Amino acid sequence: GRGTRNAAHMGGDDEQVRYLEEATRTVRQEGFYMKRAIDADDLQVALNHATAMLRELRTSLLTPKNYYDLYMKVLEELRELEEYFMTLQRGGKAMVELYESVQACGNVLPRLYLLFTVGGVYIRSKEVPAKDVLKDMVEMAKGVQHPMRGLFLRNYLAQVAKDKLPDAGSEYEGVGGTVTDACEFVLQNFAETTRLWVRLQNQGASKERKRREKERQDLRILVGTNLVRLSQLEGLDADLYETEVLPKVLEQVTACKDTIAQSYLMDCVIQVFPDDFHLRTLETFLNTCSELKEKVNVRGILESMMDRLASYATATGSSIPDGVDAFHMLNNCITQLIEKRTNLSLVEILRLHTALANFGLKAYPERTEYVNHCISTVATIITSVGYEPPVVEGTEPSSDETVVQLQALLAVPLTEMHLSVLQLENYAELVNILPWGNRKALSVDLLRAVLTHSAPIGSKDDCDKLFDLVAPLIKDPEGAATAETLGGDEEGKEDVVDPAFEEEQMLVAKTVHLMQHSDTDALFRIYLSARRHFGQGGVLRIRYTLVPLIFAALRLARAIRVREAEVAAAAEAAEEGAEPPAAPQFTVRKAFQFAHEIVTAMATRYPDLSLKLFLQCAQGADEAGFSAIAYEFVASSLTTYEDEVTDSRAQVRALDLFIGTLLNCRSFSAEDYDALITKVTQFSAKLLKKPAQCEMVAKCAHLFYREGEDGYKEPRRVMECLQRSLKIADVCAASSGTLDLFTMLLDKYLYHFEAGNPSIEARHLSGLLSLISEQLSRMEAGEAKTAAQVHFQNALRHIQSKSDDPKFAAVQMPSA
Amino acid sequence: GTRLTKAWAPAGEEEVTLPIFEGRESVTGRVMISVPGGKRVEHQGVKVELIGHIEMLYDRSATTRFMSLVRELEPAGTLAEAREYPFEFSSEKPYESYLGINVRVKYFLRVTVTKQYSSDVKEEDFIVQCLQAEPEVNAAIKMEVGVEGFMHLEYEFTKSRYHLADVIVGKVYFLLVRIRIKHAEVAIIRRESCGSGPNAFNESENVTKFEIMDGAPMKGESVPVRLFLSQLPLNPTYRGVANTFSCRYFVNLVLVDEEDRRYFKQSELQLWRKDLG
Repeated sequence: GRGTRNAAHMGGDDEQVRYLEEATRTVRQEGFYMKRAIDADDLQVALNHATAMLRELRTSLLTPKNYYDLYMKVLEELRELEEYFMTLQRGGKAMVELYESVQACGNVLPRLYLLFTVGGVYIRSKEVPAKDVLKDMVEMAKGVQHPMRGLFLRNYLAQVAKDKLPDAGSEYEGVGGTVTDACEFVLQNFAETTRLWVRLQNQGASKERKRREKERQDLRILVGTNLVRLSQLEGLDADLYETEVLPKVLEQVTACKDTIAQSYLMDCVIQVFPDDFHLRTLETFLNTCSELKEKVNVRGILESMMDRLASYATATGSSIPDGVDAFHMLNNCITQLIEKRTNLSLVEILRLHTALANFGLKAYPERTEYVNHCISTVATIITSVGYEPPVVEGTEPSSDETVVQLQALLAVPLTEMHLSVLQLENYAELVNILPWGNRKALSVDLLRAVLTHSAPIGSKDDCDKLFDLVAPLIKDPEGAATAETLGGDEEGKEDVVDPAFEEEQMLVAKTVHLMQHSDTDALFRIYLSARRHFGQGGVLRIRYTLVPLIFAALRLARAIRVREAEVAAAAEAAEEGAEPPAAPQFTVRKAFQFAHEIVTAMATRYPDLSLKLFLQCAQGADEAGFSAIAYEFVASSLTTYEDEVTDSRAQVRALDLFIGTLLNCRSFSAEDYDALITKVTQFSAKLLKKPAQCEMVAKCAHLFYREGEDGYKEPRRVMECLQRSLKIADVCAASSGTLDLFTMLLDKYLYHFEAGNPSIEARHLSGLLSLISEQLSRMEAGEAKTAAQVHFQNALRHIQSKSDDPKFAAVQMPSA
Repeated sequence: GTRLTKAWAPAGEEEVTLPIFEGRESVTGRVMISVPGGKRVEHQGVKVELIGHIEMLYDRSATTRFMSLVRELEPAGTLAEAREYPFEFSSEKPYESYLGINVRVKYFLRVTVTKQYSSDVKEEDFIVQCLQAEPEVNAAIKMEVGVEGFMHLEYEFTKSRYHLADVIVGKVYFLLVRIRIKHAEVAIIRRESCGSGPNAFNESENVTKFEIMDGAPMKGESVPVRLFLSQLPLNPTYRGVANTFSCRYFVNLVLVDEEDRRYFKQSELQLWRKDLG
């Protein structure tokens, strides 16, 4: 009977395997006989066996996947046949004869496979123009209307014709035709292939719809390759694409009235053809979009088109050519789509506008009104549908689709616009709709963008808007006692901080450096505003955010001082006429006050830090010559020490800082200085550990004898400090058996002796030398002893080197 | 040049290769008679005949001789040596040689040496083919076929008259398809009719079955038809040959549905001879 058996169903997997095996066996066998006939140069017998082999492709029993398998095996054999035809052709056989004679085959499917195999060689022979043979073949292929068999047959035709099209630059161009002929051929094959593919859906029972759809998806590449081939034509330019190719492709898309096909083909068009073609034909493309079937994901199609155009604009750096109002076209299309498809979800609407905004920004970087338009449109839609985001417990970002998409939309303009997003009309409104966690994530993106572009924050208004917008980084949500405020409350735990939190706060902190204004008053107002925002952040945040503000205030203080000096100079010079420049509203004092308030606010929670900051401020004020303010800062620092610093190592560190700062400061009156250093010395003497006491008091000695002619000098009190230290060292040496403190003190004595402190006399040195020498002699050998010896010998050598100095000559060296 | 020949294989007889003569062509030749060495042959005369007849295979007695020409080569006498006699029959031969199912048209030359008791007879067959002029009118075949509400199609062949090495080119347009078509084919049918009354015989045979479509078309599809006749065993259309028989050709367009029901439409093809062969 006929090779085409009617199968109501395709049988189980086992049967499929059997069908395929049987068919493959026949193909192999007939292929073998065919090749044997070829070897014997017996054309007719070869054709007979080829026909018998090709009859296997008439089966209806195989699934598309297995049919493909069989098809590939047949193609393998057909290549041998083609080789043979080529040999005949080279030997002088007229291909037109062969082309006719294979058409005697009684069955249409084998006949056409044979026809195409000869056809390829026929074109190659150039007996007739390529376009004529191509036209004939593609027309004859209509004889196979069975969807699956037709799809594969046409695929074979496409394959045969692939390198034989009269494309520009091809050897078949000219007499063989033009690129228009090449296009026509591929387009026709494409059109027919598409129709067969669509028709595959109507095969068999309706309950097998799902399976059909699956099979169609498997086979869609057979359709798509035609479009790929079109796009590969050398001679296909934008004109040809616009006038011939795209209209015909879209005609098929519209005519097929099939959801799967429309989705796939539109996607293919977007992916396969170059972007500059898309730009030229955007209107046509979009018109087709509005004619697609209800269930086609037009949203996705528009999105990928916009994404492609956006990345094209980015990659080429060129914006859209004049005369192509791409944004409006896309916008109109989207608007219509939203109106027409009332079932579009908010997510889909958001996705459309996200892609549109992205396209607008990439293609027209200077036209921020486009983004503004998208954001406003979305705001209107969100209001009109009364959208409420899902309630989220805690501060984790919501993964709700709509929320995520809204967040994505709002993130679009960040890279290009950074701080200017504040100028978008409904931006803040939409940001506020987001759940806290998503808003926080967006805020991080915003600040990163702002920082990457070093966008200056130039007004109080900008500052307010920015920090209102990124509120989730600035403060905790209202009414929430979050882990951030609770955690780290225990003393000593403050260093254990979530790194993400830390990074967020660093971002906020860095924004302070972006606050800029040439007018000190305006800048001050910006700082005040920032201070107000940061102040709401709670103890964990201020540690990051307020510190840069303090340094900013100090910098500002310097600027104000310069300005004040200029104003004063101008006032003096301006007696003859011109209006003197206005004095700043915010004075240097105000700036320091501002800093002082901030540090004070941190003092309880971060004593070590505030103590340091007070001293920094003190130094600033001192440099500016504000002695009283500097005093106030140091005093606050000392109070903080007294009240808050309890850890003994922290105390030592703090006292070192005090001493250093006080030695640097120049503006204090003797009285104030005396008060401060006395306090520091008292603190030093009250340190818990003796060696620390000893060392710190010795250091304090420096405070009483400052360098310079007019420096503060209280030689007697230096002596008192050193002697007090010496006593403590004596006690310590007895218990520890080390001489570190003595050698340290020896250095101090030497320093002050050399500095010319009259209270330190040669006898003091002599006594100390003898003491150390004696102690050394009694010390057990070991590392400690070696270290002490080295230190001691160095000191001795130093003294000896100064022996020309009569003062040193009086020092009595210990007997060795 | 050399004369064209053609295989001639009447049913039940051995195949032979015969020369072809055009109908208006003179049949010329030479008769050679040889006499066995040293013998003398007495005869009543030597003649050559050209005979054309139509055989009815179901009734041998009904053979009609429509052509019988004689050339006397030698009056009665004695032949003592080999002789050669040229001859020529220039009369037009009205019909083509034909091997049908019930009918045969046959031509042969017969040489007779008439003797008193048993004459010597030798027959030689040949084939006659009659070339025809290209028809002046050659209308296209256009047909509409339909089963109300189920199927509607039109088909078109570019010509109705074809020479024997011609190509049938056409198209089938499917206007309405509500039946599940499995495939479509074009069949060429030869119908031979002869006799009359109770002895009338009509025989149809498929010359070829040629699949033109695999699978079911959609409404609006068109399918091409292209069939090369040269490879088929055809002769021209014969009508009322010697008032005894006709041989006509038809083309059937056949649709086969999935239940193997066949739907067909027939139209006649006029075949004519353009070349010998």
